[in-house]
Formats: sequence, structure tokens, C-alpha cells
Amino acid sequence: MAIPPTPNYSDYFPDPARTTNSKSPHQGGQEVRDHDADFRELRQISRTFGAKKMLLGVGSFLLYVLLSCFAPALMDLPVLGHITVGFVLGLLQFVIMAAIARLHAVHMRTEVEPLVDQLREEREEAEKARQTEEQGPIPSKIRYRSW
Amino acid sequence: MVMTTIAASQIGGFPLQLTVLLFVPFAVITLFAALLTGSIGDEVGEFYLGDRELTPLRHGLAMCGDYLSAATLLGSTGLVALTGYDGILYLVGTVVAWLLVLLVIAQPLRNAGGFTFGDTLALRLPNGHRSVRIALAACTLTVSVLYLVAQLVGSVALLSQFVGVPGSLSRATCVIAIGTLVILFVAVGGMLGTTFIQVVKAVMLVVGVAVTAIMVMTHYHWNVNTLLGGAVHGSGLGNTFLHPGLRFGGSISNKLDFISLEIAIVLGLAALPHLMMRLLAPRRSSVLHRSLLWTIGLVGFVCLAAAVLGLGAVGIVGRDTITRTSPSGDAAVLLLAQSMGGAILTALITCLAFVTLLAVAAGLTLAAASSLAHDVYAEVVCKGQATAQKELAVARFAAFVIGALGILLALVAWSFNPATLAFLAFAIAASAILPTIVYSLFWRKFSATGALLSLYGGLSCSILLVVFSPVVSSTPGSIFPSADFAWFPLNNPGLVSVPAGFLLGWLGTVLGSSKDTETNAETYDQFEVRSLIGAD
Repeated sequence: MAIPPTPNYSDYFPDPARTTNSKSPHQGGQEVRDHDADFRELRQISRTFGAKKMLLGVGSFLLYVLLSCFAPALMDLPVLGHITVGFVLGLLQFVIMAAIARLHAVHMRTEVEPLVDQLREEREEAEKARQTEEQGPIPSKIRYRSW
Repeated sequence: MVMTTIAASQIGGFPLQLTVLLFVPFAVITLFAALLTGSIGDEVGEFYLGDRELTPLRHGLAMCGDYLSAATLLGSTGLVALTGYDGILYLVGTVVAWLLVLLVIAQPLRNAGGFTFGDTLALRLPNGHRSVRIALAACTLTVSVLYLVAQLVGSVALLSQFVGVPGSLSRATCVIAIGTLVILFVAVGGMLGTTFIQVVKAVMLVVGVAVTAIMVMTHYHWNVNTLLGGAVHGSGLGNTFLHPGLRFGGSISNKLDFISLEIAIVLGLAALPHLMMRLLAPRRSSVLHRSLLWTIGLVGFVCLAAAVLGLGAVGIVGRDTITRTSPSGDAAVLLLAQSMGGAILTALITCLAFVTLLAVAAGLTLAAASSLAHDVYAEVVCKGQATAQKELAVARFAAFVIGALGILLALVAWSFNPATLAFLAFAIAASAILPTIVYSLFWRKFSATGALLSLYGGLSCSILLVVFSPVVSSTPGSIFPSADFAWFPLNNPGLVSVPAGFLLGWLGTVLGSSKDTETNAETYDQFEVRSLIGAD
């Protein structure tokens, strides 16, 4: 029985560009960028989502901190008994955080992951086609190596 | 930062003996469990990243465990107990810090992958990646060792809640015992052992805090208004207790200091080395965002419970008793436990605090050891030619060296305020490491020159500002109270050093050679594909 080789760094994190084509390392990345509207869409939706939610979360927190620092009179207005506007706003931060975390999970599941899976599949197909063209059939060990 | 020597011990020695009785079997059992689950083979990847197939819940618990240190359990509750509204304001920041990790850093960082962040940088900036790795390792070591010392000093501070200011023998025993445990966990168990203790600790922390908070709420008949009323009464400060400004109000520099602290907390989290290792660990990106959901939920819950504990402590125990035991308020939750559940609950909470700082210290030691073994030894000294066995041996040895260094520094600096040390670590992480993370993930033109300038510049800027701040000189709480060279008015350098770190990264990139910048832009195109699609 053969002893399995000690996995090295590249087995854990194969560089997609390098595994795609060792002769011209830029081709893999370029191909996805240039010929894929899906890739641009993926970048677009991840950046837009991140930026909007950052603005909401950081903005509301900043507002809360600045109001507490420089408008304490407003924060002291009583709402109910000892509970003041400041406490309500503080609690609201927890609610906003929970909402953003929840929205992020939904966004990842419904919008990002399907696109990523699709793009990855296309890349694998393209890679397989190119490798067969250049070197003939490749050993299954390389082709199905898990990432 | 010298602890007041007249601190009369209110808690007494009995709960401490009970704590030792609880803690020793716990340490022995978890150590054996960590040894059994720990990495025995020669796999470097396992030592650095642990089990990459953890479920989202376990991974979320481990991240929560890495983040919530004894400072949260004792320090934050104490801050709420002493300063009411401002303490709660601070707790909100602790939760909001996860926004940056969740929305900006986590996914691309994991997708780009690597054992350490140095690997990601090497992919992104292949030209001169060795010098960048060394710079990153220098920053990682500074942050980890500082935070490690904060945890070990925290153990002495915890001890002093029971016996007053401990003698040199008991100080040494405490620090060396905790430090040795940390070294054992890391050197033998690697990431697997560290994850194990992190998950155990997170479960204990969440349960312990929840049970105590439920006891407090039951005491006040689940009425928030009554709880706040009790806190106002117990504080002896009247309604000012619930008004902003008790801690961070008054002079403009005091307010700026608070904003500076919040910047360090909110931005520093994303750049903490031990947390970055957790972000890199999951094999599937879906696991990462699901575990982040767990982490944020758990951290939010613990922070809310900490607010209840702080308010309950001041209401039930009274502010005077708390400040008499410890001027910084660290004893608040222990005194609350004693008055609600007697010696047994106090011993349980104390044991929880010891386990918490042990687990965080282990995570930090591992992060520093990985950085030394992988970034410095394997990639720079051996130029990527080191065998797995050798790299692993170096990693284990590095864990020993870092742990020993932490113990030595903690013995020298035992009288410092652990919370101040921890926030300095946050500030240095935010100013030195964060700019490089953000730029390398999102800025097409970012170059190695920019990375070097930002890493070294952010590091030295934040350290220099601390040296010339009231932390080191000019106030009675400083390290050198009699000297006065504190021309920088803020206790925390974040407000100045974080923008400085970003500015230096931009400056280095713009001023660097244009040829360098062009090749980097090309590499970025590939890197971006990788960071978006990633390796599952």
C-alpha cells in the first residue's frame, strides 16, 4: 500500500491561475474577466451590497456615538420611566446589527452563491477542455482534486 | 495604570480556593481532550488551520470565543456598573465591530486563502513578497504579544480581586501556571487543540452569562424599568448615572479619546491575527458566512447580558462596594455573583474568567507562532523550501518562545491595566495591519512599497503616540507617573494612527515606481477573480 504523500501548501490552496495554465498564468483570470458578464455582475452585487450595508451600519453607529457625545440633552429625553431616547437608540443598534447579519446571509445564499457556483463550473469546463487539447487526457487525481 | 494598593478584598479567599478546585480538574480534562483531538501527525495545514470541516455552529462558537476575552466579562460589566450609559455605549461598539468583518473582509480574505494572511499578500504582491512577509510578521508579533500580555496580566488582576494585591510569589505562580497551560495547548494541540478549548469556553461563557443575567432579571421581575431604577438607586449618583458623559464626557479631549477608542475597537477587530486565522480556516465559503451569523448572534447576546449584569451589579451590590474592591470596576460581576449565588456562583464565574483568558491567550500564541514559523521561517529563511516536519517543529518551538516571552513581560508589567493593554493591541492592529488588508483586497494599484510603508509606518506611528501619551507619563495612573513627556493628549492613538496607516499605504503606492504598479494591477485581476470566486 502506498503511503499518501504529505500534503503541501499548494494542495490546500491551489492557485486557480496556476492550475489553469502553467505557461501563461494570466490567462485564467483574464478569461473570466473579459468574457464573462456574470463575473462583472458578481463583483457589482457583492460590492453594492457591502457598501450599502456598511453605510447603514456604520452611519447609524456613528450618529449614535456623536449624538451621545455632543447632544446629551436629546439622549436624555425620557421615553418610559427611566428608559431614555439614548437607551432606545442603543438597543436599536443591536437590532440593526441583527438585521444586517440576517440580510447578509440571505444575500449570500440567494444571490452570490448561485453565481459563484455557475462561474466555477464554467471555469472547470474551460480548464478541462484546454488541458485535453494541450496534453491529452489528464490524470483524474489532478482533475478532481478538491479545493 | 498602577492598581491602588489599598484595595480591600471584599470577596475573600474561600471562593478562590473553590475556583482552584474547579479550575484544576477543568484544565486537566480539557488538556487531555485537546491532546487526544490535537494534531499528532506532520500536517502543517492542520496545525495552522485545524479541522477545516467544522460545522458553522462550532466555528461560530470558536470565533466568538476568540473575540470575547476576560476584558468583556469583567471589564465591560464593570464599566456599565460604574458609568451606566457610557458603559452601554461602549458595549454597542463591541458588537458593531463585526460589521467590517462580515461585510468587507471575511469572504474575499477566505476566498483568496492561505495558511496566514502573509500567503494572501504573497499572491497579491509577488514582487518583494518576502520583505512584506517580514513586515507583516513584525506587526503580527507586536499585536499578539501585547494582547497576550494583557490576558496574562488580567489573570493577576483577577487574583487581586480575592486576596488584595498579590505578593510576588503568588503573582509568579499565577502567570507561570496560566502561561504554561497556554504553551501546552498551542505547542501540542495546534489549531485543533486551540479550537477545542475555544468552543468549550464559548459555550461556558454564553451559559454562565445567561444564567446570571436571568437571575438578575428575575430579581427585578423582568422589568427593565425596575432594573434601571435599581441601578440609579445603587449608583448613588441619581439620574446622571443614566445620562451620557459620566466616563467620556466633559472636556473635548475626553470625548475625542472615546471616539479614538471606538475607532480602535471597531476597526481593530478585523485585523486581529488570531481572528484572521479563524476567517481563513473554513474550507467552504458557505460555512464562513453561516458561522459569522452565529458569532454575531452570540456576541450580541453576551453584550446585552453584560449590560444587564453591570446594571444588576450596581443595583444589587452598590457602587461604593464595587469601587472599594476594585477602582476599575473589574470586580462588579464577581461581587454580583457572590451576593446572588454565594461562594459557589462566584467560584464558577471566576473559573469562567480564567478559562476565558486562557483560551484567548492560546489563540494569540498560535497566531504569533504561525506567523513566525510560516511567514518568517518557511517562506523567508528557507525561501519556501522547508519540509513540513521542520516547519511544524519550528511552529511548536515558536509557540514555546512566544509563550515564555509573554510570561516574562507579564511578570514585569503585572501592575498595568489589562484593558488598556488590550485596546493598544486593537489600535496597533487597526493602524498597522488593517490598511494593508483593505488595500490588498480592493485597490488595484496597491504595491509592495505601499504595503511596507503602511505596515512599518502604522506600527511605529501607533507605538510612538502611545509612548508620548498619558498612558506612559504625566498622570498618577501612568507607567512613569513622575515624568512628563506626554504631548499627545489621548490615551488611545487610533484617531490619528489609523488614518496615518491608510495615508502611508496610499503614499507608498503612488510614489513607488510605475512599473511596479503596472504589474501589480495585472496580478490584481487574477487575484480579484480568486477573491470573488475563491477556492471551495
